[in-house]
Amino acid sequence: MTVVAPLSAIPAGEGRTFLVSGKRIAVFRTRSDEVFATQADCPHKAGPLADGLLGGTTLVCPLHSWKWDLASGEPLMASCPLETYPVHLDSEERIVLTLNSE
Amino acid sequence: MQLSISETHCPYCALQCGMTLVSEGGETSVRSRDFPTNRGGLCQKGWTSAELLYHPERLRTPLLRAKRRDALQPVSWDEALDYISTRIKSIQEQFGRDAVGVFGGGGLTNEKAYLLGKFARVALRTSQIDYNGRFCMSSAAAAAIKAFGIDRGLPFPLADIPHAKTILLTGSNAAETMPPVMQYFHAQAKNGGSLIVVDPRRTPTASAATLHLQITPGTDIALANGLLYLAMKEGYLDERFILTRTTGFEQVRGVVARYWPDRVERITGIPEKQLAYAARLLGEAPSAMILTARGPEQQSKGVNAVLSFINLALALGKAGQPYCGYGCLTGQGNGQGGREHGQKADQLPGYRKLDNPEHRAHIAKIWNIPESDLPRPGRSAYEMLAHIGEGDGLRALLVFGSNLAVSAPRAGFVQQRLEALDLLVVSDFFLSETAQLADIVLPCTQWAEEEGTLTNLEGRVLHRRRAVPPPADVRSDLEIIAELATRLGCQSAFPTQPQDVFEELRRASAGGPADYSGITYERIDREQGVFWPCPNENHPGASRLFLDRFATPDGRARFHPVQHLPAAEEPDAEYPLYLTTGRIMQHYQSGAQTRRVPQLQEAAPEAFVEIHPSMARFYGISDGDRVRLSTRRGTTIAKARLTPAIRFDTLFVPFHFAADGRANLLTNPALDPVSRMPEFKVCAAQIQLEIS
Amino acid sequence: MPSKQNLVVIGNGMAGARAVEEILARGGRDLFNITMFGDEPYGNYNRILLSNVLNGSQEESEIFLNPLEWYRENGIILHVGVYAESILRRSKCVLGCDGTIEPYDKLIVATGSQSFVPPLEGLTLPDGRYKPGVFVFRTLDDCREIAEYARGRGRAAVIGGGLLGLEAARGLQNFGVKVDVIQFAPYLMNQQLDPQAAAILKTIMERMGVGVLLGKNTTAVLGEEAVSGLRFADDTSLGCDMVVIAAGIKPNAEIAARCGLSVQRAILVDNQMRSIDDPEIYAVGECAQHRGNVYGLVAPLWEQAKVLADHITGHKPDAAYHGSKIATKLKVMGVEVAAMGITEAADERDEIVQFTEPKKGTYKKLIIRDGHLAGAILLGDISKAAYLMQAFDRGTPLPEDRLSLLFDIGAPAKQVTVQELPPDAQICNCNGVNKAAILACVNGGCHSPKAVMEKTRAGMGCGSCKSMVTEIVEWACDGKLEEDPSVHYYVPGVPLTKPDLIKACREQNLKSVSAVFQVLAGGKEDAASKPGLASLLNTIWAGEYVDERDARFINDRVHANIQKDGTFSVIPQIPGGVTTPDQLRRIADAAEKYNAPMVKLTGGQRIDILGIKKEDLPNIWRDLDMPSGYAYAKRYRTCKSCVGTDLCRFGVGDSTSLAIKIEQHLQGIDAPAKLKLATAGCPRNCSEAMVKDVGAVAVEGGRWEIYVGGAAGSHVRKGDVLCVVDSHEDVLKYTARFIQYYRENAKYLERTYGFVERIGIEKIRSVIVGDSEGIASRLDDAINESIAAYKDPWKEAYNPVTPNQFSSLLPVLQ
Repeated sequence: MTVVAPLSAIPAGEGRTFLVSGKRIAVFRTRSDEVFATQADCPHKAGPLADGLLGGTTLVCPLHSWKWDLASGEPLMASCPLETYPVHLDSEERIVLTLNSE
Repeated sequence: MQLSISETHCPYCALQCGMTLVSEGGETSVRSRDFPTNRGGLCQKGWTSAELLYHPERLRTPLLRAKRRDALQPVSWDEALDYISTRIKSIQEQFGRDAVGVFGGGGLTNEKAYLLGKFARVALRTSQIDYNGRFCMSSAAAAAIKAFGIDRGLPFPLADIPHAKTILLTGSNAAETMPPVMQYFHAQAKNGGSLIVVDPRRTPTASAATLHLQITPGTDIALANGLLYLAMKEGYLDERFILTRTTGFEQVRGVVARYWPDRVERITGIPEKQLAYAARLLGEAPSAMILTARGPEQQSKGVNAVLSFINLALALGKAGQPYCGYGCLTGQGNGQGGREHGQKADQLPGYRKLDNPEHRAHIAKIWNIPESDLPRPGRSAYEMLAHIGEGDGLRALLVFGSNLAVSAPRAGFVQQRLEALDLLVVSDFFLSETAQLADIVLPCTQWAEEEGTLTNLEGRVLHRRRAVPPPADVRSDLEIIAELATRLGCQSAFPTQPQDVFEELRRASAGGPADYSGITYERIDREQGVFWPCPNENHPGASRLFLDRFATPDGRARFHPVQHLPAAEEPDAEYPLYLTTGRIMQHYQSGAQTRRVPQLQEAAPEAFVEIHPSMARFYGISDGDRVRLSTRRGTTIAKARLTPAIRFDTLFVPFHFAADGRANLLTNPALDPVSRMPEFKVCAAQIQLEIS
Repeated sequence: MPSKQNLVVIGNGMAGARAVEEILARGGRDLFNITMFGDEPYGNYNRILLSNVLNGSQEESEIFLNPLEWYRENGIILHVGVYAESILRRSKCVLGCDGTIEPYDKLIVATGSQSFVPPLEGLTLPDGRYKPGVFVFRTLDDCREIAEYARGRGRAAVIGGGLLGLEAARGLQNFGVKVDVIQFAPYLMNQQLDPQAAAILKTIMERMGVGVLLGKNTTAVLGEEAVSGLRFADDTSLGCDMVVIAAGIKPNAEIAARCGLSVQRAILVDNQMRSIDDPEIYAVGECAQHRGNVYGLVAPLWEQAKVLADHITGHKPDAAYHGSKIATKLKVMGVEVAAMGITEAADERDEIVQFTEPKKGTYKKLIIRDGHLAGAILLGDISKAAYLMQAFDRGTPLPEDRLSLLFDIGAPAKQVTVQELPPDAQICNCNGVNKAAILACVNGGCHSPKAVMEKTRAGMGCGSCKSMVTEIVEWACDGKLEEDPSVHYYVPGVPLTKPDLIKACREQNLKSVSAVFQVLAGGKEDAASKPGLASLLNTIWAGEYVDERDARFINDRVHANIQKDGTFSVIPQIPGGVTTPDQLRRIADAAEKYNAPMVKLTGGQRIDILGIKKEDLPNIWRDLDMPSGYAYAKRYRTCKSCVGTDLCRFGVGDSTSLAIKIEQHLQGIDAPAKLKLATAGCPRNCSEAMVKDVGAVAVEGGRWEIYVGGAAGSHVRKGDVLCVVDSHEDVLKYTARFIQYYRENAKYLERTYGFVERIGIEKIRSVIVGDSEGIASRLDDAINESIAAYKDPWKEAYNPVTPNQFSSLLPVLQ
C-alpha cells in the first residue's frame, strides 16, 4: 500500500507519473474524480501515457494515439493491454495504490 | 466475459492483409485493421476467415488406419506418433533414408518451413523434401536469381506502386486473387499512370487497365521480345543504364531482332497497334514497373518467360531505380518466406544452397552436425511424387500444409502415386482430399491458434499472433516435428516455441541472401513488419533493393537471351482449344479451407469452365450446361459459364474444386528445365456436352 | 564420340543462317565442323525488313540478325563475299570462286533467289551493265543504290504490282518522286488479293498519287545513257528517270542444276528438305521447291529450317515438312492489308463471308471450309487480322457467329448508368457483391451507403467501388437516403455539424468543453473530441472561454512540442525571422544550460531548441525571456519573409516589416489547424508565399497580392489570389478576416488548402472582399476580440495554471 499523493496533485481529467518504490507509474484522475493507475510508458514506443488525453475512462497515448480502457487495461485500439494497479481514495481524499507484487 | 483483441493477419494470400480478431466467449469476429499492406481493406475471404475456427469439420484427434481399405479411426497422439516413427524406421532400414520424403507448403510459417527442412535433413536425413511453392513461385524465383542475384517478390514496397508512371502486369488477376492490393493500382491510375494488363481473359483486373493485351496462352516470351524489338526500333532503350548497370545485352539484341511486330502479332494474337501502344507507354514513361504472376511463370518455359520480361525492364532502364523494377506477385500466404528457409529440395535456410560447400558448412555448424551428414539436393516436387513406387522412389511421405491431391498437376496420376505409398502421413486441420488418402492424419493448429512469422510479397516479415486457444487435443506442427524427431532418436534440438525457432532461424539465416538476423518479434510489432535483408538489429531493413547495385557478384544485372518456343502441348485437330487454369475471388488454392466457409461456398459452389459464347454455340453448349472437358491426361466435369471476356480459342477452369471437378486432372506436368515448374497455364483440350 | 562431320552451307541469307542456328540449337556444334559461303559481304540480315530500310523506318544495323562475331563464337568458318561456284558431288566438295575447296559430308544449299528480271530491250548498256536508273529490289546494296539515285529525281516506275513492288513504290514515294506501278497481271497483288480488293487498293493508291497501270507488258527501257522511260507491248510508253524491277523472284538453282540435281523452278526436295536425288544434300528457303511450292516469305523458310535441323542432327529423324500456310500483312500507301490462304472459293461447299465499303476503302472476305478458315482478305480495317491469322495457322474451329469474325463486337461495354446495370452486375470484386445484393440490403432497411457497405462489405476491400455503391444506394433510396450523418459532425463525440454546434454553444451559453459534453453529448466525454471543441469554444468566446487544461493536447498544456522520446522542442518567437545578437546569445546559453542534444533552424525562420525535459520548460522560458513561437499548436504559427526592400536588389515591397506586423497582430490565434504564413518582397517568391496558408506577395506599384489556401507539405497546392491591395494595413485586414472566416467554417484539422477548395475561392472572395453576406465587420470584430485576448503562454513559467503542470516524475507521499 502506497499513499501516492493528495487527489489535488492531479488536475481533473489529466494524469501524472509517480515513482512508486522504484517503479514509474501513471496515475489518472477523471473529471468525475475516479482514479486509475497503469504502467507509465506506452508499450508501443514508450510514450508518456500520463500526458495522454482522457475521455471518460478511455486513455489516448500522446505519441501515436493508441487507445486503452483505464479500468481494465484492455486495448481498444492497440496490440497489447496495459499493466494496471489497484488504486483508491482514502478518507482524506488521498490516492492509495497497491503494487501487484504486494 | 473475457474479451480479447489481437492484431494479426489473414490466413490466405501473399498480401497478408492485417486484420484484428475480436474474440468473446467462443465467438470470434474479423475487424478491419489499418496495416501498411491493406490499409484496412479485406476481401470476402478475409472477412469470413474466422469461420475456419470453431468449424464442425475441424479435426480434433489423430486418425489412423492399419490397412488402406479400413476407415480412419481416432487414436491417441502417442499411438499415432509411435506408429509413424516405427514405420519410418523400418522403411528407412529396408529401402534407405531417401525412401522417406517430406512435402511442405507455401502457407506454413517461416518457423515451420525452417524446422521442417531441419527435420528432413537432420532427423530423417533424407534428401527428399520439397513443397508446393514449386508449383507456384519457383519460375520467378529462379529467374530473379539469374538476373538480379537475389529473389524477393517485390524489390520495392507496395506503397511505391502509385508512383510508377506505367505498369505492365502480366498473368495476374489481382483484382480477384488479392483484391485489396488493387487500391495501389487505382491510386496509380489517379496519379495519371497507365496500367497494361496481359491476360487471355478480360478479367476484372484487365477491365481496370489502360490497355488490355489479350494474349494467346503460352506466348509471353514472344510478347516480351516483341515489345523489346519495338523499344529498340523507337529508341526507347536506356543505353546508359545498359552500359553501367547490366551485362549481356548484345546477345539479347541479336535474338530480339527476330521479333518484328507482325510476327509477334501472329504468335501472340495481339494486334500490332496494341503492341506499339504498349511499347510507347513503357518506353516514354519516366518510371515503370513490370510485374509477373502465375500466367507466364506456370509454364514449361516459365523461367525464360520471366527472364524475357526482366530483359525488357532492364533494357528500358526500368529497374534498380526509384519507382521502377521487375517484381513477382507472390501467391501463397508465405510463398516468399516459405521458399527461403529450407523446405525446398536444393536449399538451406537464409536462401542458402545445398550444393554450396560454405553454405553447407555454415548450416551444419548451426545444427551442430558434421557437414558430411547433410544430404545432397533431392528431387523437385512433381518428380518426387512421380517416382513413388519406382526403384529409388519414395515409400513414405509426410505432408504438411499441402493438398496435393487437388493442387498437383496431372492430379489423377499423382493420387495413384500417393495410394502406392507404404506410408502417407498428413498433418492438417481439416480432412483434406489428401488427408483422406492418408494412413495417419495428425490434427494441427491453424492460423489464429498459433503464433509465427510470415514474409509477404514485399519481403516484409510479419508477425501472426495467436488469437484463440486451439482445441484441446490439437498440436502445432512444431510440436509434431519435435515429437517425431525425438522418437526417431535424433539428438539435435527441435524447439517447439515459435519465438525460439525464430531465434535459431535468425542465426541460421545470418549472412545468407535472405538474412533475418536483425529481425525480432518485438521489432516486427513495433515497426509494422521488417523487410529482409536485415543483417543486424540496428539495420532498418531493406524496403527497396537494387537502387545502387544488384545482388550479383559484380553488382550488375544480367540479360539472358531467350527465344519463344511453343507450349509443350499446342492445340491440334483432336484437342483444338487452349486450356488455362487459375484462381477466383471466393477460393484459395485447393479450397480445403475456403470450400468450408458457407458464404464462400454459396457464392462459388462448384467447378465451372469459361468459354466464349459463340465458341460455345459451335459446340452446342449453353450457359449452365454440364460439360465434359478432356485432355490427354484426364477428364473434368464442370458447369459451362459463357462469357465474351475470354478468347475464342481458350477455356478457363479454376483449380479450387475437388473430385471430378479438379482442374488439375487436365493439366500438363511438362516441367520447366530450371525451376521444375509444371505447365499449369496452357495445354490442349476438347470440350463437349456431358450426356448424363 | 565419333569424329565430327563436315557440314558446308552455301548461302548466308536468312535461310542458311537460320538453318545453322537451328542445327547449333540441337547440339550441332559437337556433330559438325560448319563452313559457310556468303556472297554478300555481311553477316546475314532480315530481308523481309528491307523495305523498312528503303523507306527509312529502320536502320540497316537493326535488321542484321547475326553480326560477324556470332560466326566466330560458334566456331563457324564463314567465307565472306565468296561465291560458291560449283558442287562436286562425286568428290563431295564445294568450289569457291576464290579457289577455296571445302569438302563436305553434308551439304546445305541455301542460295536463295534473285529478282526475276524480264527480258527487256535496252535494259543494259553495251558493256552489259544495267543502264543507269535501272534497279532490282532485292539486297541491302540495291536499297542503298535506289535511295542514292532517287534523290532529286522526278519520276520512277516500278515493274511489278505484287507485294514487293508495292513496298518498293511505298519506299520510293518517301524520296518525293512520282511513282507509277506497272502490273502485268489484270489486278494488283494477284497472289494475295481478289479483283475486288485489288480494285479498292488501286483507287486508294491513285488517290495517294501513285499511278497504277494494269495488264501492261513492258517491252523496253528507253534512254541512251540513262533511263528516260518505258515502252509497253501495246506501243504506249511512260516517261521516268528510274525503273525498279520487282517482278517476282527467280530461285538461284543453277549450281544445283549443274551438278545434276533435279530442278524445276527450284531444287526439288522431299519432306526432310533433302534433294530428291542426293540424301547428303539439303536445300532450304527460296531455292527449294517442295510439293510444287517455292516460298518467298520468312515464316515458311523458318519452318523448313527446323525440319532440316531436326533431321540432319538426328534430333528427330522422323521430322517432316508438310508445306506452310501463307499469310502476309503489309501497309501500302497507308493502307493496311492482310491476306492468308486461298483468295477464291474452290467450290460451292466453301462458305464465303464478305463485307465491302469501297468509299471507306474497307474490304473483308473470309473463305470458310468445314468450320475452319481456308483464306481471308482484309483491306483497310485489319483489326481482326491477329485473331484470324491464328485461327488460320492453328486451324482452330471458328465461332458460329460469323459477324464476330469480321468485327470487334462484345468489346468492353460503354459506361452505363446504375439504373441500366443488370441485377447480377458485379459491383465489388473484392467481396463479390452484385447490384441485386445492394438493392436487397437497401430494401432490408439500410438507407446509407456506409450502412450498406458495412452490411454487404461492398467497398471494404480495395475501396475502388465505393462511389459506385454510393450511387446505387442513392438511386435505390431515391429521396429517402439517410447518408451517414456522422461524417458531418465537427467532432466525432458531439452529434452536431459545426454551424449547429456554434449555434448551440452560443444559445445555451456553453463556454467549457465539459459543459458541451454535459449538455450536447449526454454527459459522455470523448477524448478525441476534446481539442477540437477547445479550439472552437475559444474561437466563439475568446476572452470568456472557460479553459479546461485536460481538454488540451499535451503540447498545448505545456506549450511545447512533444518528441518521440517524450522530451520537448522549444521555439521562441522571432517575428519576420529577424533576431539580435543578444537573443542569439540567450538561445545559445539556454541550449547549453539545458544541454539540448540539437539546435536547429526551422523552415519557419526560427530557432528550435530540441530535447528539453518537461520540468525544464519553465526555466528555459525564463532564461530565454522571449515569447512563445507557438510551434506546437493548431494555431497561427509564423510568418516567413524575404529580405524585402531593405537590402534586396529586386524587392518591390517591404516584406520583412509586413511579416513582423502580421506576427504581432495574429500571434497565438487558434484555428482548426495550424496556420503558416509568408510575405514575399517580389513575385520571385523566395519565401514561398504562394504556397502558404496565407501569403502576401509584393507586385509593382507597391501593391500586394494576397494568396490563400497554398500548401507545400505532403500536399502541394499553389494558393489562390484572394485580392490585390495597396497597403500593409489592408493586407492585415483581409488576412485576419479570412482567418476568422476559416476559424468559423473549417472542419477540425482541415487545412486552408482543403477549406479553400471545398468552399471555392469565388465564394470566399465574395464574402471576404465583396462582403456579399454582410458579415465582414462581424468577422473583423470577432478576430480582434481573440487578438485582444492574447496572452504569452510562456508567462505560465512564473505561475503554472495546473498542479505539477511541468513535472514528468513525482515522488509519492509515503
